[in-house]
Amino acid sequence: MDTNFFVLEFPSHSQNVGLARLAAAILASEAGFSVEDLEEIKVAVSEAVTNAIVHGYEGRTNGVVRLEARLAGNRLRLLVRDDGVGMADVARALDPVPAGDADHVGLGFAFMRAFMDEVEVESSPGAGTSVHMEKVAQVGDLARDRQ
Amino acid sequence: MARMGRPEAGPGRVVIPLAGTLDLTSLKGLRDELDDVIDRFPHSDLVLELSGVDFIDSSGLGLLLGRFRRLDGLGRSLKLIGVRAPVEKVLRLSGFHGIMDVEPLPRASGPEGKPMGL
Repeated sequence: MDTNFFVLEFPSHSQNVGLARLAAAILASEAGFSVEDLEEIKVAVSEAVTNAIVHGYEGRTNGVVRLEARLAGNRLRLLVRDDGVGMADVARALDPVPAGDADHVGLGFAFMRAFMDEVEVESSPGAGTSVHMEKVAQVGDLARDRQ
Repeated sequence: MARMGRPEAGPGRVVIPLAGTLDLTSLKGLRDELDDVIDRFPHSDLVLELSGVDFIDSSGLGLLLGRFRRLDGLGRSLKLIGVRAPVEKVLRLSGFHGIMDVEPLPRASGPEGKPMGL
């Protein structure tokens, strides 16, 4: 059962990436994540929302991006959803091996996987993309901040 | 959004302070501004002073990497100084330390431990 949650929908404007980061970090701060964890969560959200804007909606600003954030005790679950073009080959998009400048998508997912405990992507052409991410605050995280 | 401060030219190098967030919002404007400085100081290495930058993601990395590649092609170097801990972590994970000088912000300065700038 969720102890807290929010659902945010916003247009695919680049300035809303910061809004999404901030909202997720504030919710996460209720769960005992360390400052370092919060910074990591911000990067993960930034990557997912940027992908939605740049790749899902191909830079158009008339798309809608949805961020769902749910807290259940010390577990944070995030969903970043777009109704954009979707990906035909999710596995290839997730591959962090750079392929010229189109490596943006892969690098973004590499950060999401490095900074979140679990990342799952659902996507298909014409059906948009959903990125599910999860992170659990470890006991003693806050204590580490004081060192 | 990121802002560029006034470039400070020294012997063989020019130092530019940046402030704000290096993400999708900062890309185009900052890229043009940095390229303008690179053009204006044709024989100088570039040093970016990043103590005012509190966030970077892969978009910001792409911007920095693009400037690095451009300078490298011109036989000039890019160095990052005053790098805050969360920014340094992202740079380190991306392998930046292997291709350019990255100097962290000295620990004594700045409220590093506080959850500011959420």
